[in-house]
Amino acid sequence: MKKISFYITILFIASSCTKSLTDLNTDPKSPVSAPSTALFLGAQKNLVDLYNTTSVSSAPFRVFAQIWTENTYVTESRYILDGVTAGFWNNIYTTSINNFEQAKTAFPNDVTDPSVLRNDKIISDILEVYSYNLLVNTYGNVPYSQAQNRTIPFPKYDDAKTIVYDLITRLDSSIAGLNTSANSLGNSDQIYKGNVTKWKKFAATLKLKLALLIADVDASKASAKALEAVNAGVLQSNSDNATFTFDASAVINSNLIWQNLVNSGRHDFVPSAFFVSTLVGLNDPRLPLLVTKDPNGGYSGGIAGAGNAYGIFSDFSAQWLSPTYPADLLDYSETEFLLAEAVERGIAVGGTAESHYNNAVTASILFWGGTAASAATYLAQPSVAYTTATGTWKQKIGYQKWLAFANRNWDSWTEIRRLGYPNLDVVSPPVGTTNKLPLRYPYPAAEQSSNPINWKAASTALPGGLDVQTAKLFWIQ
Amino acid sequence: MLLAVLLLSVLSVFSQQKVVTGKVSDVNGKPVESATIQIKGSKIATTSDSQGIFKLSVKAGNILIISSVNAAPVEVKIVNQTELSVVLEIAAAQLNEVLVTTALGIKRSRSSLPYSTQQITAEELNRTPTTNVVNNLSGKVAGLQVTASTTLGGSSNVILRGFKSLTQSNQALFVVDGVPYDNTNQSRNGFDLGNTASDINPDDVESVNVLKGAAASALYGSRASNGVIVITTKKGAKRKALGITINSGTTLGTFDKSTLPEYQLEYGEGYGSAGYSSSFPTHDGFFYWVPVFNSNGARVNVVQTNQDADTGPAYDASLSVYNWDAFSPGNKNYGKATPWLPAAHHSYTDFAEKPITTTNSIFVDGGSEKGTFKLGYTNTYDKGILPNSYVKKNLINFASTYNVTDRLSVGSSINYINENSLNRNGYTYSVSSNSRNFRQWWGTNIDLNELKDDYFRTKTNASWNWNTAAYLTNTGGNLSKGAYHDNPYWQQYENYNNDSRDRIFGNVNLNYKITSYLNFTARTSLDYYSSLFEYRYAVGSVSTPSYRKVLSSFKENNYDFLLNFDKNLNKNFNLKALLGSNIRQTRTTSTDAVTNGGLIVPRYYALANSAKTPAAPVETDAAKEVDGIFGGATLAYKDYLTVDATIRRDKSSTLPSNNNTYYYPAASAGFIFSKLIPQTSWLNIGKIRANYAEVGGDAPVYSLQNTFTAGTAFNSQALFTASTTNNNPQLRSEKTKSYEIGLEAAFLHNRIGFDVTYYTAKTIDQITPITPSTATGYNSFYVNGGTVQNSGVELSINAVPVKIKNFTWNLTLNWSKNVSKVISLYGGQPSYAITSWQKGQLVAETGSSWGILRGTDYTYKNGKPIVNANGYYVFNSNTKSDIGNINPDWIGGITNSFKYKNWSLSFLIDVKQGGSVYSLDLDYGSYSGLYPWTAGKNDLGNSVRKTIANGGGLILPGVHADGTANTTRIDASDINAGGFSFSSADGFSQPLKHFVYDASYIKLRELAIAYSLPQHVINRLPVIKGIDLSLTGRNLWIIHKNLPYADPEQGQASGNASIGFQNAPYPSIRAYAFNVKLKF
Repeated sequence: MKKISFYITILFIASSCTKSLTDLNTDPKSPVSAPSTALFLGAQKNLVDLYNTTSVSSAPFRVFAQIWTENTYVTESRYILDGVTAGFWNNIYTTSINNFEQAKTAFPNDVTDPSVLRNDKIISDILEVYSYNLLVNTYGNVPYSQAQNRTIPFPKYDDAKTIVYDLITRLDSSIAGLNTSANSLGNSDQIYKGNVTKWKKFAATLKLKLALLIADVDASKASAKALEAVNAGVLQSNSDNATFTFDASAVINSNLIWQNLVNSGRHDFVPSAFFVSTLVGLNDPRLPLLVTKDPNGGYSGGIAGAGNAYGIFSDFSAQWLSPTYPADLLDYSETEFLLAEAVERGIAVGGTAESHYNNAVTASILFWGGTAASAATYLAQPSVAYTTATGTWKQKIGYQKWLAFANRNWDSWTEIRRLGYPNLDVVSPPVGTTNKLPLRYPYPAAEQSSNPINWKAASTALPGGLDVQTAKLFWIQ
Repeated sequence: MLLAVLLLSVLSVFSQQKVVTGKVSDVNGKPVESATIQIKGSKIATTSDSQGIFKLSVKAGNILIISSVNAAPVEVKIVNQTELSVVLEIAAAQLNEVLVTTALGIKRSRSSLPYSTQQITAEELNRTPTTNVVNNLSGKVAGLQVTASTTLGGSSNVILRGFKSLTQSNQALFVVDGVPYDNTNQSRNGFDLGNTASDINPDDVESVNVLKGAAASALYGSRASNGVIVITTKKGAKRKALGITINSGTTLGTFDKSTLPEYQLEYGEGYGSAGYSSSFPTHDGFFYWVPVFNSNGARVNVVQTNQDADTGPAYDASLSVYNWDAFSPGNKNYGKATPWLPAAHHSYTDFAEKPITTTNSIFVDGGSEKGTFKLGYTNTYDKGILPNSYVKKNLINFASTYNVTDRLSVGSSINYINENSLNRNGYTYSVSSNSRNFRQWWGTNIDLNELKDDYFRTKTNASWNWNTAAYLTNTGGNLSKGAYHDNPYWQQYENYNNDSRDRIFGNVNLNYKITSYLNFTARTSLDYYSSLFEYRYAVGSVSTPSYRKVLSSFKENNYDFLLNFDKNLNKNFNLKALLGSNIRQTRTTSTDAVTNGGLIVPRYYALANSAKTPAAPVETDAAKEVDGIFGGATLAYKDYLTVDATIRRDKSSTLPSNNNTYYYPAASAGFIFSKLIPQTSWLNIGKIRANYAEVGGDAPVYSLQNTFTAGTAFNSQALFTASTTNNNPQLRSEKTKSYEIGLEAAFLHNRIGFDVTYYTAKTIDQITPITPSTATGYNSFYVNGGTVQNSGVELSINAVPVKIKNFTWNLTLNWSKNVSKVISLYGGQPSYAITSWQKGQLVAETGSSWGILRGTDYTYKNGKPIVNANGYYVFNSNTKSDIGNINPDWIGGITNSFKYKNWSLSFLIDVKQGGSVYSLDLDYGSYSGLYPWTAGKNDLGNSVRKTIANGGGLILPGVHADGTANTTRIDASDINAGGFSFSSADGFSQPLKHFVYDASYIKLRELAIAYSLPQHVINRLPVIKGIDLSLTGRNLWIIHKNLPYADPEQGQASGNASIGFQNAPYPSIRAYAFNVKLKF
């Protein structure tokens, strides 16, 4: 019996060799914390990539806007969005906003100077507002108050208009809170390299943009907020542009346009015929800066909705396809277009609509590498000059903004939806479809399966009560 | 055994006697081990060894009584024979004293087991040769669903009693000689590298016992919740001379034609009117009308080579066109226009090669009173169907035992496996799958022989899929690459992958008999392998060239201590008890490095050849430990009532420290009621059994704390992002609760017997990475929640319909039905997406099953699809409609074996009834105009691909909303401009539902003819003790299926996401094998 107890003892000694079971469960290859500024850069780069991507399963907005169109697989050109609308939503929430939130949480661990800490948090919040602007004006009502919560897997959706008003309020406090005499993120901020003054201008311009978004539904608030924004100081020149220059040393850090159109070896897109012919028709100096000549020595583009062969049309310009060509999140040209619009809406932002329009067009031509002289010549043409160009102020600004937004992807689609020009359903309907330009993205199919109760409520809240791409967002006239 | 040796040595003293040598075998010619050979009227006896061989000293006139368990004794009178061959008729329904290997390697008599197990002998398992022992289980065990893939050395699913876990592994646990054997799927980067249970040497297997329910397997801990496949390997036998067995087999394969695609041959490559523009107007049909490099500016008809669909121009011998080969320098058609006709060699089988497998093995065993050993070596060479592909394996098995004293014995076992492969088969929707060409994106104007010649002549990526720009710029030798696809030969010879694995699996054990009834065992075991995987994407390929290298390793250590008690308490009661502990430590690591931005020097594959600075390798390192103690007791009353109870406690490193301990209780009872009723001639045995068990489960490693991931530094600035998995520090163990009842009986002198089992297993509190709204910032949340129930019936029948002199017919039937039900999901969610693919999903749906297919569907009127005024189907507004269920209604197998003298014939019919599969091939291949139904005549007798104006178009079968039949023709003339009308892809005319097929099949899985040379012939040969010849066939005939052009069994590698979705499978192979086995 003594022996037996000896073996039993061995058994229990052996089974209790559990000194550090819990320690074993710490992943040696994935840290549980990360530097706050590195998280900020991760969030910023993800936001830029999302804004700049050519992926039709995420952001086919250039295709909607007929700046580009597709060659062989023409579904998005025909506004067929089955399975397309998840990527944009997923990426903004998970790779962009989530990491801005993580950075905000981590800043106090790394940043000791209270002014710098405050600036860092505010800059993160400005870009978070920018991210929500993309979301709410793509889908309509989206999760906001319950979003980004580790304990709420199935968040409710908030009213789109309420969200936009809250975004404006957040920008108010950001503009007031930034301390321009203190430092901020330095080179972890690859847009302004930590220049707080420029972030303040960025926030004001974004506020101006949101103010005009609500101008048709709430003119008085729009006017007040636009004036506040202009008084705070908006972007003043191309040197204030929120551009993000890529790093060509690694493929994944290169311009996504280069990654997807050059590096991939694929030929999925060509400049659209409508875009190229508009530039040709206006003798636009940006034409050779944006696209190449076709093999016939002229300029031509692919028909939206039709199958197009690569190699027989104009292609994208070398600078546009360069691995380092910068993404552009918000720029001076857009600011001047907004100011022109503000004047037309009777908001006392100063200047004339024409002067702002001229500044805007000139800034865009310079941005793409044109000269001031070529811009002046261009603006002197009756088809371009503000006083003589065709149509209402919405049409004049709409067309020129569309051309200026050649590389502004989401904004090119959004401004067509907002201003109504160019009215693609009339002037260039894609062939092979009766679909109209999508007014919104249907919610990701995954929301239907993973957040069904709240998805259903959000769908019901849409005009018409159905989650469809033809439902109007609150600011669409 | 010991007794036999002792007796032999004692008996040899009596010199006046002569020694008779004999062999005891059953009616199937299989050696009978441990048969008793007794001299009638004396106490002199011996037993046969594992080869059925015995020796005994006898005198003329002695009568030998040869007997064995479950067989009627046979008497043989000794006259002057020195060699005997004795056949015992072992009853078919062996319920009584058959020993089966249960949990932890404990052998118990089958009749005493209170739970369901099913044992297969090596002979039954290995009737047909295989390189993966797992695949040979198909159809042989009730309740076991094996799904083998057709990829070279590819993966197999092994599912017992249905899918229980929403997200974690549902694969059965493999245990070899008491030690868990890792069976992780090694697939990576879209290549199917198979599961590691394929490292088990089929020639080394003695028997397989399948523990189906939790009561049988609870002692193995959490991994046993999916059932256990217990494999017992061969042991060395005590014998005077070494036993040597040499086995050599060759398997030749041919393609099962019913699993090959067929093409329409009316239209060639092109994408409708794609490519027309004002500057290049149309000419003839869907050709480009452009000047090419040698046409001096003149426009010519050029095939749309940059497209990969078969929706181009109608074939017409009178048209002379520039086909792809006109742009391939050195090709006989270079720079020439040729008649527009289908190519001579455009079929899958013009590319694929017939496979060959060779297997050679040698086994040596021996032993004495002091111990035994075995040593085996097996070499297999498996040449795949894709050019330039193979899997080579070397397996060495060694095991020995040594009796230190009467009480103390030690043993060890070591297995070394070395595997080397070239060009594993791609299985995902990517360029890595050449099969995708032949099933989805292809043109019949492409000649594979020319592609082969072009590749071997120039060693360049001579493409059938030239980019359009090639027409304008190619001036001889200045080749441009393909638009989407590489030359398939370039893919095989330049973009090749290879992998290798070295594995050691072994243990050292010690056994000490403390008393006659108490036994102590200690064992330490190791399962370790390291692998290398390399993949090349050569300079000149469609996408960015790259080189990838992945090093990975797996290690599992088990330390087991076991105390066994076995004593008859009194004349009626026997108590067996055990107490044990197990420490299991696992560690999985990998380092995955890839070049960045291209390769500098062509055909130089090293990370240093990266065009840009490569990102840091991705490293993983997952360590885990589970410490368990367990105990159990089995009380038997007389020989008919058994009560069994076990309990195990585990403590896992993957759960929070305050909540990391959990228990698995199990209780069972078995009652042989036939022993209580008077013996009848028709009922030989009858038994009922019932049990209840709970099995706990822990969390995946590192699922408690949130982590961050480093990205490639951007402009020298550090960049990190948060993981998109929201881990959960509050996780607790999950549980599977199950019960089972069973009835076994044998009738008519054991000529017929059955075993029927009903079970229910409910998995609750599942640790699941649920899919939240991504508005949370995360793609998954770890939670406890969700209940899945599987219940079902298993039936196996053994029968001997005919047994006459020299001829026996045995029949075995296995049948099972499992019903999966998702009772609830976390947070009351209606469904959980197991996986998503092109526009479809596989989900677990509350109130329905695990494994529902979802996607677009028709709307219906009286069961018929509704069309709109334009003649197109009206889709259900719910784009995630239920369109299928992957779970079969039932599965079954019937084995018939016939034995006539030394000949035997057996065949296995394997059946799966029901279950759905979505075919991406038929969907995309219809869209791309590849399949026959996309061409041909319409109801007017005109080609469907003519325009409506010219009498073309087709009427989709369906009705209008008011129930009237559809009569409106839709246009099918142009894949884009007209709305090509065959596919759901991208919102065209058919919903996903159209491409969901019934995956039922009936297969002639195995057919074997074997012949053993008669003993009297063998006896005349020197040295040789036996020669067995066999001619066998595997997967010879798919007797019935509903899925065109492919084997409905095929999935995507293995795992939860592998079933119900078919993308570019390889054709099924009819394998014919010839095998010779020599015994010395």
